[in-house]
Amino acid sequence: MEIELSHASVQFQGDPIVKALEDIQLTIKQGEWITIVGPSGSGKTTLLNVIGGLQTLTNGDLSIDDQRLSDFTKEELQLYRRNKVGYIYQDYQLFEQFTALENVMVPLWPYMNKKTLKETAQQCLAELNMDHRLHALPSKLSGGEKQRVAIARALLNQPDALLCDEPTGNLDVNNRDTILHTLKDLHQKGMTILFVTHDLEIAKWGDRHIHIRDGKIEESIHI
Amino acid sequence: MRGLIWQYMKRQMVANLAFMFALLLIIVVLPLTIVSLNNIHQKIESDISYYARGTYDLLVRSPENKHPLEEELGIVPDNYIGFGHGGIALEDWETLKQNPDIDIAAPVSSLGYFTGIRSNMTLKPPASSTRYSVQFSTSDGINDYPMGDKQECILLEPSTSERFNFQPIISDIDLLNMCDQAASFYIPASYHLLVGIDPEEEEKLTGIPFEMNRMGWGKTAAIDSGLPDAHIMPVLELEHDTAINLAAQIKLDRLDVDAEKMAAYSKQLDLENEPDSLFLTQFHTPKYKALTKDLLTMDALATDEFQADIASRLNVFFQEPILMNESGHMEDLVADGEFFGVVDLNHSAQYYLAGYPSYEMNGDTITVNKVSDFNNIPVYRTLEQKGVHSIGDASLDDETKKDVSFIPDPIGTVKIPKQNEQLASSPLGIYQFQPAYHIHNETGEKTPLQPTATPGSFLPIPAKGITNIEAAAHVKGERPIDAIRVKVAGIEGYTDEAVTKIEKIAKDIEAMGYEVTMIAGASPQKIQFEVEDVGLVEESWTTLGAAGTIVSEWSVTNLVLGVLFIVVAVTYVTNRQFFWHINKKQDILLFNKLGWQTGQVLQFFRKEMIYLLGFSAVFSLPVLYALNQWLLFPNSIYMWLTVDASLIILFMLLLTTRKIHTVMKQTSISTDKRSKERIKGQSLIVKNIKHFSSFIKAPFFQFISVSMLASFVYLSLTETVEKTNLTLLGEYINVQTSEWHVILMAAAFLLTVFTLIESLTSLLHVRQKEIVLFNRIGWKQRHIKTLYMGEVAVWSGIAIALGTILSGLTFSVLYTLNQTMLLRLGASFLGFYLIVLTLSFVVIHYRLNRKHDRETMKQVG
Repeated sequence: MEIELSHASVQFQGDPIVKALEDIQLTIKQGEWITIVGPSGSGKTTLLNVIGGLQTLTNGDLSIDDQRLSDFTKEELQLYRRNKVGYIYQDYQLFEQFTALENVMVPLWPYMNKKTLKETAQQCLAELNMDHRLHALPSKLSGGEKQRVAIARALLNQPDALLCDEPTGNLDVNNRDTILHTLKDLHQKGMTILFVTHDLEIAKWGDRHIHIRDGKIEESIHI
Repeated sequence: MRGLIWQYMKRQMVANLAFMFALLLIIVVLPLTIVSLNNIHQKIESDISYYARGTYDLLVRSPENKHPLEEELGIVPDNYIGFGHGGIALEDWETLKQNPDIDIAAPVSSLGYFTGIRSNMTLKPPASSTRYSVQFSTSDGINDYPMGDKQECILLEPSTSERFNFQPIISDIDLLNMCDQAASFYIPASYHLLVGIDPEEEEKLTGIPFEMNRMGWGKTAAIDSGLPDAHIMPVLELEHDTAINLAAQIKLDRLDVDAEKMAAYSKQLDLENEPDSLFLTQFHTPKYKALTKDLLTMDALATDEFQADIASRLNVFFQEPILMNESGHMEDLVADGEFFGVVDLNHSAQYYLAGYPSYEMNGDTITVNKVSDFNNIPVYRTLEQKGVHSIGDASLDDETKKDVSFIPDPIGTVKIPKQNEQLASSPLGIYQFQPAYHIHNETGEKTPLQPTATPGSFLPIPAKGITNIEAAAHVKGERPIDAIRVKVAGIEGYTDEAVTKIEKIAKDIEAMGYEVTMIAGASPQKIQFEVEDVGLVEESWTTLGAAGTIVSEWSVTNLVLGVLFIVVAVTYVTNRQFFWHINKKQDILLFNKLGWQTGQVLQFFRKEMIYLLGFSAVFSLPVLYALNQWLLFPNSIYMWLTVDASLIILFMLLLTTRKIHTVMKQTSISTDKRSKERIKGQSLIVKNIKHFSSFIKAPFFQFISVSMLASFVYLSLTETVEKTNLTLLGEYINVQTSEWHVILMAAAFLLTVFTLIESLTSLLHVRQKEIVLFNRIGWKQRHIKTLYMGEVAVWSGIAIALGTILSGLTFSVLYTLNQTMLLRLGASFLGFYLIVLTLSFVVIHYRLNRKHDRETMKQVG
């Protein structure tokens, strides 16, 4: 999946108007690991949300495999989110009332045979060494475990790209490394990874890192 | 999908149970309220229909016969039949009687206050020389009034003569012939209302036969008195419970008089040589006066004193003589030679017209002042003396005899059954007399009042005698009728149709030039007023149009309460939905991020909502059934349950759908648009309130609505009950409906308390992260509680104050907001505020100490 942003801008109405992204030019090739760094409020998460189809552009275009995302219908957008991208967040974004297995199953629950779905979800969790915690509620899981559940959920439908919004921000060094190794494995299997972080050390894990400030790409460095 | 929903619901068991309980409560309370209000309405309608129609429907009077207070206050005294000036012609009465739409047209003509044949009270002869003192008196129940001077009679024994048993001594010439071989005294004249009626119509109205075609002693008396042309007016005495007060205080002194003293007295009166002469023959001599004075001041050997209730043996128009023993026991006196009975008809053709008591309004107080006195007894009505005195006096001159146009002829008595207190009042009747009471101004103790024996009492006494309308016409002339009591034909009860027909007949009669008053729907009412020389008096008066007032008062109250309950219910449901939305928003967003289609998200949450609502609706049925076993609602409550549950489900589903659509449009996570303005220089409490205003606004409005409901339910029910309780009919209806009032108040209270708990809990739930944060930064629980309590105290205080003000404003539009009501509003505000603060403390304390929260805090910490 190739992602291309052309003169992409996002503005939030208010007094004053907040320019979250301004004139972004960015092309992401399939299988690339891009680390997005920048200070708080610089527009990193907004950029991720734009690519994830959660935020519409005020100006400019976003194309996915040469298809403009702004031309997508609501249903097509939902389908895109469900099948093309997987999302993982710093705060895990798990349903507190569902077990680890159910949380992984949720994205495709209405769309897939339950038995197959369960097997797939179990497999995803097993690949992340979480098969011993299938029926634990999020409140009983550690931060690293929660994030692994979130990754399993994101991988359920074998997306082309994984959008990671500071997924290691709440984790200790050991858990952070485990998650990064997991992502590395995925990347090696051809998964596109967009990784938002403050941690410059993590930035070294990617193929390239983009530095954003005040909604603009300051520099894009290939490693 | 179903499995996921079940898991979703199961894992939020406590929250869902609270949600279901909240819904169950509203689903149960609403039909309860509707049925209670409907039952109150129906009970009032049926009671009014059944009880509000009195013995007659319309009162026809001449325009000048209206009571002055009638226009001003809409109330009239009991038994008020005008001033006796008539005003309605016999022909007009006949016209009404012939009207096929009129069932009864019973005329009343007040003739005034009459007394009858006067007679005497005799004490059985004594065993030894005795000095008798008799003081007649009357009373209004509070004050005793002597009637005339004390009368004294001395019977001395042994007699100096073989011919007499006693030598009588008197000090007053009026007792000549009365104080002889026994002590006799005239029973004072007492005055009683006499009215003219038509026996046939009156019987139809009352069910009591009034037989007038009888002859008494009148014709003979007329001939004997040289008045052969005088109209003989038949008079039937009405026997009922209401009696005037007439008593005699009797004192018997035994005197130490022996033969030797009697001889000395004879000698003192120069009668020592005339043993058969009565001492009375020397009445005009100074020696007799000196002897009388000595005897009247002589020390008694022994004294007996008692009071005799003369009123208990009073036959007002034909008094029989009374024989009394020395213990005060009374019996009929048989004139057998030993005793004699007086037949004195001198007062019987003289009578008094009496106006109404001089009621004066001083602010809210009615006062009645004395007008004059009648033989030193206070009189509260203007009296006009009529007729001729001394018609029994043979020496009456011919000129005076010509003025004697009638002679009352007592022909018997009619027993009037005891009047039970009736819910409907037939004012201006002639039989009804509800007890009047004096109220002690310090203790509040009630003392029954009685009319005095004279005309002019302030009490509205019923008629004691009746004559026929023809006799009334003879006395009063061409237009003798004061009022006609009309009962409309062909209607049952006090229904809307009945009122329409009664009003139509009233208009027809008004067209004849008469004043017509709707009596149907009138009810007795207790009125208090100040009477000069007596004090505070409570009487049963009649409120005209009471039924209409009761219906309209309750209609307004029910309508407002109904609207208010619905407003509270809608606010409650909306508020509930608001918190649902806050709780679910993140989940909806997450589903959206995970790529669920809107339809799937809708289906998921709609199904969840349907399960929750369905459970609530299903569980509400046994709850209502259990309540029904106890409170016995009509079966329509189940219909209302179905209706309100369906509407709530529909409303909630619509709100859910709308909210989900709104959230699904927000694809961005960062949608927090809360106030970002600078809020420097304000306390943490104010800053927090401002910051969380979007969360607080829902419970804020809910607090306004429930505080308004709570105080308005209490105030309006209290006010309506107080207003309608003025009349007996209203009081009865209020007693009948009081159970429903309790249910309404309980429902309002339950709704209030639960919504408060629910609101506060939900509010704290959405701020759980904040609580954790406070904990994280090292705040003690005490400080967190203080902050939250401070916040709640501020915004809930404002909300409750606004609700109370709104309640007061609504109340002032519908009723009168007086000082008492303002105090009640103030008390309601304070009480409600106190409840809120207490509940808040409990809820905050509970939330801060909940296991789950503690764990969350631990984890985050």
